[in-house]
Amino acid sequence: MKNWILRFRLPIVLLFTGITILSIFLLPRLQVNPDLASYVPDGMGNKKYMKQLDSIFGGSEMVLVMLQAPDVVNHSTLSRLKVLKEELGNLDGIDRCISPFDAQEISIQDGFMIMDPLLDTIPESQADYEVLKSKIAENTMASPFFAVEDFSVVSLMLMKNLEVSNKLLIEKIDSVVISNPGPEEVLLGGMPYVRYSINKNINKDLAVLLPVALMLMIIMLYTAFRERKGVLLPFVVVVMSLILSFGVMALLEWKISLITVLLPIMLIAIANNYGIHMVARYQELAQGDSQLTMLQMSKQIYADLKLPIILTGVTTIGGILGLLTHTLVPAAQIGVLASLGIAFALMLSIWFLPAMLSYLKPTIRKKTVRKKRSISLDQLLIQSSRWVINHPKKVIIISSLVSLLGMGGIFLVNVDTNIEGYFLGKSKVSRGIELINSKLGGSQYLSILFSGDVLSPEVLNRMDEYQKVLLEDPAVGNVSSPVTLVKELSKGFYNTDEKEYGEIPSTENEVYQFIEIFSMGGNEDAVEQFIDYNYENSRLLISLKDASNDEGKRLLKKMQEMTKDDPDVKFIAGPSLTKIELADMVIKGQIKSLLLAMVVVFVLLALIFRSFNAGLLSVLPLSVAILVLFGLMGFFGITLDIATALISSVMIGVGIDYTIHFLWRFKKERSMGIDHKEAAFITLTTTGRGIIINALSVIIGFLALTLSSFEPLRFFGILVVISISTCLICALVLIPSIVVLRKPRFLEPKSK
Amino acid sequence: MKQSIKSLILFSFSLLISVSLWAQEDAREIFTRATDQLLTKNMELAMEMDVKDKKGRVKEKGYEILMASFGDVDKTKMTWQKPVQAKGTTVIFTEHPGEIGLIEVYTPSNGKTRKLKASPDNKDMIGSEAMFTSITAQDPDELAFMFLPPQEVEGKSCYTVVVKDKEFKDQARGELQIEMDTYRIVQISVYDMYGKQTGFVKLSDFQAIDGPGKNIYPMHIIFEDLKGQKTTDMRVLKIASRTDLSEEDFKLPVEQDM
Repeated sequence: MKNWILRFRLPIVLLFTGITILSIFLLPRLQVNPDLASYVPDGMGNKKYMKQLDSIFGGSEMVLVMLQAPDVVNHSTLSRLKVLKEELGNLDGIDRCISPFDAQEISIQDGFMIMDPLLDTIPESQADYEVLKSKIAENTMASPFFAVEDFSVVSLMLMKNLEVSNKLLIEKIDSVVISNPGPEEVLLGGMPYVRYSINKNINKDLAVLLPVALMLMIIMLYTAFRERKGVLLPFVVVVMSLILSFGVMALLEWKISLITVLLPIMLIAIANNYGIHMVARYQELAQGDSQLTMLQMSKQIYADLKLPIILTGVTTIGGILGLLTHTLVPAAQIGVLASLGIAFALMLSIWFLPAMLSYLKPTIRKKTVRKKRSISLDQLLIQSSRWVINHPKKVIIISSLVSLLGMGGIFLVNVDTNIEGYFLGKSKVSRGIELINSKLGGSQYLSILFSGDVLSPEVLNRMDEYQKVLLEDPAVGNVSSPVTLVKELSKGFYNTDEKEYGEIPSTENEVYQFIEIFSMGGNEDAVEQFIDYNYENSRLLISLKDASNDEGKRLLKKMQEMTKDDPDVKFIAGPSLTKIELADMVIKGQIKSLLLAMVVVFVLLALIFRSFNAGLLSVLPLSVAILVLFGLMGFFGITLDIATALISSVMIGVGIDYTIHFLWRFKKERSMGIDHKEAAFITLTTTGRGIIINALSVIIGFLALTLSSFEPLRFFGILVVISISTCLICALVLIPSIVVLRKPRFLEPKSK
Repeated sequence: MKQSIKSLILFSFSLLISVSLWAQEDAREIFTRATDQLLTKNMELAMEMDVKDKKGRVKEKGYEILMASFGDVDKTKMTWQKPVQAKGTTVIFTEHPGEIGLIEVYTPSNGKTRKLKASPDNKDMIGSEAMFTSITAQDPDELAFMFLPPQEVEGKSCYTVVVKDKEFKDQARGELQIEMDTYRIVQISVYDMYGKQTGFVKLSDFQAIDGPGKNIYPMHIIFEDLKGQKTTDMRVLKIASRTDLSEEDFKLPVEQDM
């Protein structure tokens, strides 16, 4: 085999290079999809209902434009808002612009029904501003657009046409805002803007994190090997596997999502490991006394490392393929792509690298340099190894206690898939979200759909009751419904001394006629938010101040209880519930992928060592690492989200390598008749060094994630560091203690 | 209601009348011939329409409409016939030259009558479209007309006439197709200030109307609101010239206590 590889080294180099070049041509086809809803399969309840709601009431996607100032009720601010309303409302891609200028002041004066726009004339004196503020606070059509408690914010709602891209629209909005400057800070909000920001941040992350991770890798490789070959070869492997993974992604027309940002970082951190082992072995051979040619060294490297590299590669792929069971489509996709990338890196490392190496000139290095450089690490290893092999029981007891502690923390882990939590506190999008939630009643909505005689007073009265109950809930910001509209309209038909004034009419025809007259006044848009075109469906639209999963679940339960006997209520749906479904998927996906990864690793290790106990022993450090990981997440309040949910599969895939390396070498030492303690000591002080460098390279690679624009990815970076460190400690401390104490049969020489 | 029949009628015909008065000589002749044969006031008509939204959902509506002029005062009365929940709802719009119009509303469900002062916004209630008033409210001398190359509409050669404001640099305009042999207006396209088409009206099935003026009227009108993505398909069920209309015909029922 090794001769075959070297005989065909040119075709091998050309083949892998060709595959990479082909993949490069596919890269321009890559597209970003920041849509949270697309993470949920189409068949799931809420998504189905959301589509129904959209088909009934039109696209419910809106962009909120907010003007923030100490006091927005003044001539200058409201004039600016009016100009923005006109210009933004005329943009292609905006179906309608709903603003406080649409609010009508309905009253009866001198026998005339006055239906005047509340903000038709913008006053110019402080006294008039105060009068206007009172009117705004009392007007149910105007107040939702203002922060009525301090009038520090005023907003416009732009209903987005579903055909228009978020990017194009937000750029147009930004351009209109820039061309109408003013002292007020303008912030945007709403899901199209959030998705646009996610899209922008994904691109930014890929542009920043990829070079940073590559740079860290180069520094790490140069520090470890101190020669260009040592940097170049693993670097080429990583870059080629990255290109292949993204090329396959483009070929399969999978789109880049938020968690895809993890893919290059995973590959940079993991795919270079095999190349590192090859280079390390090459340096060992080059430093030796024998005068081997590059061709001979390449043959030797291949012969020495083929098996362990394949084994660790396969277990890593097995662990990461656990993500295939994830219900979240992008999670499963990243599992496939990362596995492909690692498999490609594996092939490159065992075939392409020796072939490439054979073309290069050998480097003569002095042994002493390496010895001096690593002396502190070696001493540390020697001391810690001695302690471990002499105190195996203590190690096991401490590990058990840490695991028990971790178990306690698991119960504190929160699952939150709120897209609003992705952004860092100082970003504009984050401040916009905060402003909407704190001052404008929230940007996330739930709808209760009513079907049937929706204009009948019976249905409207029930809606009114629900509305009252919901408005008392602390998680609810605003509740809008036809009831609010109809009650307001009645003020134009009845005098204040009539009992019908400000009430729901007593007949369906009266409701119909109110709405028909109001609609003819150019107010169809205001009506169609709550009542569909043919008056067959209507809805309560509830905005949430607190859109966390816990509050969403609680509120959903409350609404289900409240409406369970209502024959006209068809369903409750909204983007907030998509998050809850997503959270359920995250939990289920986490459990399934974790179990599958564990089973795969167990089976692989059992096969490799031909022992059931080997499987069990290999799974043990991973179990401890999982308990520590989730325990820390619970204790430190790090939520399980769509990114952090991938961590266990990555950890299992990567972390198992250290145990394999240890067991492999330990078995080899035992086969040479060395006793358990000495075998463990030798393994820790030789292979242990390689394991530590390997783990450090993974940790350094993933550290780049701490520069991400997304909070979940930053936490992912930190959690990988914790989990890989735990796996490393388990492999170098717990496993040696167990093998010294339990002397497992599968590690014993065959003759015994 | 952006697509209301009144809106369409006022838009289509008043636009043509306005245009014809101040058009260049050739155009004036064509427009005069086209508009002179149309019945635009002192009339009664009943019509039904299907208003289809962008999702293809259809709303059926029906109105009886009276239009008359009493000296300088124009009056329009619309009474809902369909849907059944709105039947009897009546709106009367009275417009004095140079004054803010008055809108009166009657809702049969509660027997209430209410008056509203017309404003650019609520004038929509009786169908005066902003795009219509923006043209006709201007000084006619400020309007310019020009011909575009003739077009064929359903196999018939038509003049294409463009109407726009002389002073405005923007691209707001109307384009009309008038049949060469009959001088019937068969199509109107409306463009906004950015030059984007916002509306399209198709008039067909012209029928002669008994009366003093030997007028004709399109019995089938399709209006496409391109911005709102709605289509209104109007069928005139009955039309008659009514020179006998009096102000009494434009009064709402007396308010009752329900």
